Amino acid sequence: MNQLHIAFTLFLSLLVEAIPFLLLGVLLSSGLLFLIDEKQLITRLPKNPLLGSVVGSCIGFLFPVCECGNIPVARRLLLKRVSPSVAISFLLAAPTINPIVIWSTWVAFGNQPQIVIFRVLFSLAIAIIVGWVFSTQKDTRLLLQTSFARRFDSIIYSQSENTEGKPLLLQSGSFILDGGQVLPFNNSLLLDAGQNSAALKSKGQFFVDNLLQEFSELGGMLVLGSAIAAIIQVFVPREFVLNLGQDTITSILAMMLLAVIVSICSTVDSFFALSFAATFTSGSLLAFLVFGPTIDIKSIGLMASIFKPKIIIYIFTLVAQLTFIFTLTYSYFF
Amino acid sequence: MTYKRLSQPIDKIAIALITFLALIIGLLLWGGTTCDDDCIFHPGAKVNDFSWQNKIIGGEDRAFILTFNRPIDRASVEQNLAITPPLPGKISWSGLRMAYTLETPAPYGETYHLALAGARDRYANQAQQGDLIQPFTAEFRSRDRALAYIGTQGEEKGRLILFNWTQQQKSILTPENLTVFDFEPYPQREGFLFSATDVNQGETGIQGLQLYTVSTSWDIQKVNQNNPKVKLVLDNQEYQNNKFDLSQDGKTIVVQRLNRKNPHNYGLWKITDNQLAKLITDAQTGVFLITPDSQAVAVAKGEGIAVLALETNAQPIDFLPKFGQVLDFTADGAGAAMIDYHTDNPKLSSTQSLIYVNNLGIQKQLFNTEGSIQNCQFDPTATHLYCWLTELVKGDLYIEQPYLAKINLKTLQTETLVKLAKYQDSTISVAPDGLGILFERLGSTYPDGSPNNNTTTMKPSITKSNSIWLAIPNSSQTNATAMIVEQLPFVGFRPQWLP
Repeated sequence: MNQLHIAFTLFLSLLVEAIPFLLLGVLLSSGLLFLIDEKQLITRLPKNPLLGSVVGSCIGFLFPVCECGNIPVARRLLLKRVSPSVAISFLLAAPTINPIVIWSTWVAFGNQPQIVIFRVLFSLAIAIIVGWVFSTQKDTRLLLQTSFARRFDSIIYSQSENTEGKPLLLQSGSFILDGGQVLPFNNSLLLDAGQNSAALKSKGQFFVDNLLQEFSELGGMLVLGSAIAAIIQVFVPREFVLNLGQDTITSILAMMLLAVIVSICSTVDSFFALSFAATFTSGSLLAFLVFGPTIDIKSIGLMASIFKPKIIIYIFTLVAQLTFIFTLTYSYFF
Repeated sequence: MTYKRLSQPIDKIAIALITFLALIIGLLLWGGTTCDDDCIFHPGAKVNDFSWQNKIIGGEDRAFILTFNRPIDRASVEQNLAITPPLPGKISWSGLRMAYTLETPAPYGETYHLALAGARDRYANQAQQGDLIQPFTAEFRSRDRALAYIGTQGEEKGRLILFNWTQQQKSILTPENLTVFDFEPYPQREGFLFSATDVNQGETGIQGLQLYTVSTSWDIQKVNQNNPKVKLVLDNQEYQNNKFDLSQDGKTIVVQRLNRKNPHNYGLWKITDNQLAKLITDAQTGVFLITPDSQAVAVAKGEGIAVLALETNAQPIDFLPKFGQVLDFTADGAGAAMIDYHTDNPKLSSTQSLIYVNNLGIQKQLFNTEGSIQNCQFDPTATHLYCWLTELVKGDLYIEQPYLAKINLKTLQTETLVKLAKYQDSTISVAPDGLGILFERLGSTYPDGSPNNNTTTMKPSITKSNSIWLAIPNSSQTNATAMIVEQLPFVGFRPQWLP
């Protein structure tokens, strides 16, 4: 009973911490729907995959969201036909490479500036490398989770159909009739407001609809992810994980495992890590600070709403390996 | 089927990269386990930072910090840390940082070696012994021991003289045309602030005093060039500059000035950042001293001591009605030595009391005398107070006999270090590293009344001018088993140790 109570408390605290950021991310995503013109965005983004990854990693400076808020934005970028290298490097870098997180890390580790600097550098390097790896995949649909890929298809499809001026009712897919108006079913979040002038809804209504749908969908994933994270934390207590750290290597692994389990938001994780400053190596603290914002149980649920499981495994493995290599090298030299 | 599922470009490159990274991880792990001391990296713990590395420390530097890069077995560090020559101190820990606080300031003019080898890292709940730390050695130096005085003989007459004791080098800092009256060294030894009269201006005596600074260089080669720069800070055109004090941060000068045309126009002025002097207060004030935080000045005013903020038209922050004069503050500003003239008590009005006051509100009477309390200075650790006091010699004539006393602030035990036969103005300068006390003596008299059970080594004084003396009290701090009082080979007055 007591454990259930603890799990519920952990679950609620994870939710309370993450939901404002998810809301912020969804707001940004819905805003992008109107504010950014897809053609302009694509022409402005560099064609070179490596440069694309670099740019994608730095978009976090414009959208200071943590790892829960960046997923709706990454989804929106993919739907705007931004290349996967940009979207994935944004997904991995944005939770760390943004002013709020850099500032909070500085507040916590001001007396060890190398932690702040290397957190940014390592996160940036990982995001660029993984983003660049994904640029090799030309067909984006094969990366995406089946239902999301279908939506992705329908956008491309509806755009090409619309240019031919076909009536909406004659397009393929499911439709509903709403007060005599024809609307594509469950696809409001996918459509581009600029091109959807045929739709009779006002832009404001459209924005709210998209907001609610995205929030309910991703919120559901967040609730699920948080519940799993809370349950694991009850069955695998922090003390157990911390005791795994017995030397340079195991302490890095222990802190990476802890980062996955506690699923703490990147805006506040520096203060959490600070409490281990006296008992763990600075390399392992860096591993926590670099790995935590990219991968945790809570956000794996959200990522599963975009990517195929095997893609998540690739991202997870590459990020984990790179984090381990970087932080172990750091431990050897610093 | 499986092959087909993994046939996309992303599968190929991702799997290839994962394999490649796994190989690198293997290499790193292998490198970490096989690496010895001659490796380009050290997989075990090491000292990340030593706050005194290659630094020249002064008396105000009382603690260094060693920062480790990972959890460390604290006991093994405490056992294996070695400083030569030894500097006793206390160890405290905060996370990965170890602070070593010296019990007494490091003696000047020494090069210290710090070595740490044989310590081990330690993780939480670690069962077996941790890995050995990378051996660490470092060096730091204490400042050269140095003193300054105003010369009285030959080419040194009236000029500020700097003697670097460690290098055994003497240099004359001020030009011939300036006759120096008083001086104070800047806290980081950048130079001196001094008051002097300019022979070329024709005004001698207190009316001709102007304030100057002179720069000093501690680079031996530059000292040899001997080209100190003298700069005028405050002239005497409108005001006569009586006394001055320099703040401990070296940024503020407070000067007591008198309008040359209107003697009622009198007050304390401050000079900061080379700006024009600004009036702090136009009240009649006596002896004053800037507080150690450099934010206020304690002034004898009326029948008490007012503490004034260092600002224009300052209002008193505090007023201590009982005391007549502040003699000295402890370096940390937590305590002060004051004189109570007993003006409120007719029975005691012929006596003076030396009172120790601290910021916890404790007031301790250290001493009561029918003679006078001339000058006092705390030692660097604020455990003792050194004072020039006088003893009233009983007889028909009123004769005060000065003596230098060491007062233990805890036990209140007073020990006489030196006794002089005749009354004289006495200066006192306690070494910042606690070595001893510099003072001047008039004429060619011998020190008399040396304390019982103490051997006193003396060289006969051969000059008839002011000579400079050093008293080294017996203390564990200086490793001196017996008190030493010796005359130094300088002729001059106002000897002062450099900070």
